[in-house]
Amino acid sequence: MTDRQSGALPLDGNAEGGLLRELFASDVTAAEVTCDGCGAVAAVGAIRVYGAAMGAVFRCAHCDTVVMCLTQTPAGLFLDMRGARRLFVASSEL
Amino acid sequence: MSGPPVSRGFRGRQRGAPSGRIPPGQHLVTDFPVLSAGPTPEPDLTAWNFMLEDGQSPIGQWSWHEFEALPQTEVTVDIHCVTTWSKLDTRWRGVTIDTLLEAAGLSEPPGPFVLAHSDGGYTTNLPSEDLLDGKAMIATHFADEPLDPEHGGPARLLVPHLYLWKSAKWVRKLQFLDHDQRGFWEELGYHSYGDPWREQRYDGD
Amino acid sequence: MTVTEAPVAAPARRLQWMTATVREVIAETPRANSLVLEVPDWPGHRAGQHVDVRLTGEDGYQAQRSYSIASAPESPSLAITVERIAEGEVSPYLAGEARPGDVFELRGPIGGYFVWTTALEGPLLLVAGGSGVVPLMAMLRHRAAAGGTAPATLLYSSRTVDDIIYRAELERLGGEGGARVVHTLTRTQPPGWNGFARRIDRAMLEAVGFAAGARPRIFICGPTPLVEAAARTLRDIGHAPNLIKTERFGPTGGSQ
Repeated sequence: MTDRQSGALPLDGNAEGGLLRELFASDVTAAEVTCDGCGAVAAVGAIRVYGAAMGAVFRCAHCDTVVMCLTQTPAGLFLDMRGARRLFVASSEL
Repeated sequence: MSGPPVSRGFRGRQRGAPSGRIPPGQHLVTDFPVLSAGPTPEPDLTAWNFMLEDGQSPIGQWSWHEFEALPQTEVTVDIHCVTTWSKLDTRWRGVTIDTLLEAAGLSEPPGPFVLAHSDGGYTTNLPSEDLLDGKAMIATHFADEPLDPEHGGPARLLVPHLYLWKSAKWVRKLQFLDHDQRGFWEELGYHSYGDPWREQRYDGD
Repeated sequence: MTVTEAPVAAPARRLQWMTATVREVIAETPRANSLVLEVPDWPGHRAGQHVDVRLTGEDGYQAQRSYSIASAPESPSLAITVERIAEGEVSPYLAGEARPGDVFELRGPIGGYFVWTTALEGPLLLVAGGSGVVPLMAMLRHRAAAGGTAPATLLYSSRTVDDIIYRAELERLGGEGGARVVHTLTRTQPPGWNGFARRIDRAMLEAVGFAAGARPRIFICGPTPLVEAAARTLRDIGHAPNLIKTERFGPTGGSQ
């Protein structure tokens, strides 16, 4: 597989940590998200992220549901949380 | 404050002047980068079909076999991705939207706007006008080979005069609408039209 | 900047871009350099965290990428290790052009998920592919600096022996109470090599890793295919999913 083709492989929420810190006062990569598609719980840092060059599309590893999308544009930051039923951040991270 | 510190010796990629074949802010690549909003779907040609819809009403539908039997067109075009790469002289083969409308018995699109739908839920919007007169096709072959799944195979929309996110990979349906319905990236701040020559990357550009 | 004690919790505050000055460039491998940086008011970090780096050219053009912090929290200096990606936009600058005195912007530390401190009990299993070793090295450096005693093993996959980052230091980290380091070379091996010579697989993880019953904390970092295969295999072996943490490395620019 060439380096170019690996552009289709997902990264994960760790890579979006900096952008998420522009929005949230505390680190969100350790936060746990409940997938609205299948109920699976995953840390944001562990969630697969596609399309990183255009924006971050967070997809549940179990059911591929789009949990969240994040883009940064000249107008501002968009965070779409369509598939995230609940976000939990432990006190130690707040 | 005079702005961010300049890093000595840092030059970004060569970005094209807005003349010639490379739109503003783009750079030339010779390979074919892959960018997707989700995992590559497994192609299943026995289950594959392509639809035209007028609102909620189907107006045309083709199985893979029927689709391959439609008149085919070959084009050589330049393509431009909003992530700043451009690739010149790409060869595609497929069925133009003009041909599809004709095959569905339509002399013109049933609505002024289109929402393209793909496997995996991706959508993107365009004015119907931008699909006509040979400007767009459903492409099934790239460089004389069946289109690789990573690049949208078995079939993708190809609208080369707009940024490549409009050329929806794994396309399954064109839905004609009477209003402009923003698609996936457009709802996340990307431009509703996406003309690379006017550098319409984001909403408001 | 001097830090004598690593902070326990990440400070909750808005991240600002700071100016980093290169103090030293260390050639780790033909493709990878470490940059020792001076960052005024650096707040400290935990092993496993990363920084965002932003370069600005003369014409105002900016490019930004993320790099794992290589230095231990106890280290007096902040260091990152960058591997040059062919056709990359930022890595050829950082691991090729940058010299002492050069500046760029940096923000961090970032990440609360993929972090380890000696306060977390249990054995430590680290699985690295290529430059994925960087955040894991910060963990091993922290373990050594903090006097951690729980067993630790690093399984490190590289293409050739010349691609092994921190090779000499990893050898020194072994020994009594030290971390066990096991290499596998997947492309070519030097004459006389009697180590692993293939991609990480179940047999290797079972031979090298801890038994599931030991409940090791597991950190896997590298290219996506390696990370996902190793995580899946370790779950199959019986390790609890909540003890396995992953960080996928890969190109983020549209044409890298």
